[in-house]
Amino acid sequence: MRNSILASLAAVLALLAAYDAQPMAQGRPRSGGEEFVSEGVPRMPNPPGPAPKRDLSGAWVGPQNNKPDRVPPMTAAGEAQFKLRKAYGDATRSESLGASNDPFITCDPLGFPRDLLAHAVSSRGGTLFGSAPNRILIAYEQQRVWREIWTDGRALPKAVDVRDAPESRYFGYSVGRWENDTTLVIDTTGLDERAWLDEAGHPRSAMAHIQERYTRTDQYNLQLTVTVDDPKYYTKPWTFMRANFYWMKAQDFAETLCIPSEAIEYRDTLARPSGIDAK
Amino acid sequence: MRHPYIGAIASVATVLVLSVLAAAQNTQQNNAPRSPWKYYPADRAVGDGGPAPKRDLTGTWAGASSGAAVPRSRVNPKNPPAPPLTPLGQQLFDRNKPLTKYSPAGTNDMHVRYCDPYGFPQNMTNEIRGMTITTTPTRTFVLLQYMDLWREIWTDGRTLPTNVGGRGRDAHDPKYNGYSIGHWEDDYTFVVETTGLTPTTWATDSGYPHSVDARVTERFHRDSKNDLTLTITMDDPKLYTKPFYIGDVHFRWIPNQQLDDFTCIPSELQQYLKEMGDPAGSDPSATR
Repeated sequence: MRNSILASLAAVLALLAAYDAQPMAQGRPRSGGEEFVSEGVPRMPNPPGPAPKRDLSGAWVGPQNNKPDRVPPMTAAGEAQFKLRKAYGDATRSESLGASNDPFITCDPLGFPRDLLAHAVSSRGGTLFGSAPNRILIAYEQQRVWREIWTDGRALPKAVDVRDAPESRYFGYSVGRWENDTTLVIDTTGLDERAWLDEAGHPRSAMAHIQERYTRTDQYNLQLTVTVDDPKYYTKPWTFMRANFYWMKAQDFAETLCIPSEAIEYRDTLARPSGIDAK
Repeated sequence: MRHPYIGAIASVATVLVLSVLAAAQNTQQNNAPRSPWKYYPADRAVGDGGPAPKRDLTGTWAGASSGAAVPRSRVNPKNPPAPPLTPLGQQLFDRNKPLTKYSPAGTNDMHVRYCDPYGFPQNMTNEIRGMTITTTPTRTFVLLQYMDLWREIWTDGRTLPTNVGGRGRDAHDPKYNGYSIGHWEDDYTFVVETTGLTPTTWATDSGYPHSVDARVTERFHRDSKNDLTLTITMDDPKLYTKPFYIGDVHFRWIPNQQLDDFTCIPSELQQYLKEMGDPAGSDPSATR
């Protein structure tokens, strides 16, 4: 889906879509250019075989049936940040499009871990795992962005945006390790604070510690649990995401992009005709 | 680097900016402690590193805009000499107002005005800072530093789609990155064919157009362990009377395999244009 006008609208439907996304890999034909990959679609054994060892490589759809914990009480600093955020499309605190300052309205990067929710544009959360020397690479359908997870044993940066330290990033800095043959654990920090944690506008600090646990339960099923530990802004850690991914039969993604010119035109001509800026 | 609006004007001042940056970083880097998380442009691969491994491009590479003194192109792919255009090609070319000629206020380059995707093939020639390549059994992935963008190249023997942007149930949507297939021509040369490109994007920074049916050939040749050369040719008979040699792009192996973040942030670009680049709000791209 390349219609960023829809991208802006879709946020309204985001929660609904994310909490009960339908499996998309079970043989239902998908529109667009996906016939391009039909020649490469493998047979899908039923029931699925066992999970291969230490291997998530390939394309997955999700997140399905996301069941996060409630966001815990925020610290005073967290509350102060949160009050500045004017969400759009969140079920609990939604402003109009013209009044919102959600950075994704102009297609600014979603950042991590908001991109994992994958419902700011649509519920199509295609995720692809690959590898390079000492690294696992994760590519996302939404916005066609990617991040790298270092597996060479290095420690995460202890600080960002200070002398001799790396700069904060939208997707942070990540290290990974196999806890056992089917569970990959990824730890991330060093995040650019401009990005929101979620569509409600919750903040996350640059040195928040975010942990993803991917457990491949069989050939086709992958479970993800994401925890957020951010004492600067929250009084305790919590499970931000608890969802399933399913092996993508066609192994191919559409281009799911938010196009800034279209999104800005939509905002300015339809949602904010008077030009009033929420910021 | 998190200065996205620099991206919008970078093509005007790239050489100067990078020279200054590289000099400054060289001085700093000699004494500063090394972080495994930072890209150090002065930490460069030495020599050719020996023979190229066979059928292997995997890893992270520095491009011409990386500050790592990567060899410049023989033919500048941002502004290559084009073959004669067809009347339609000329008409489309005349509409495009590149930044280098029209300034931030006068250009209708949608990337410069909005951070819209460059699209392929321009995303392989413009803002080429770093690139990571990885493979799976059926695909090769090119992951670009600029805009955190990835593209995929199928290597399972399939053919390219023949109906992109047309009518009918079997038609495929045009894509910013098109549809790509690849094969090894020999042990060191990986050839990629791409078609089905979103026709509103430009083939070059200088505003040369492409059609949805353009067929672009990339040849990734691994010259040695540390050197990779990409040449790009476009065959687009609707718009050009001959195949268009877009140019060559060189890459060098990055020793610590680390890249920085570098992306274009739409909201910041809008702020930049409002305050500095185009305070009068002329926005010629709005008339496209």
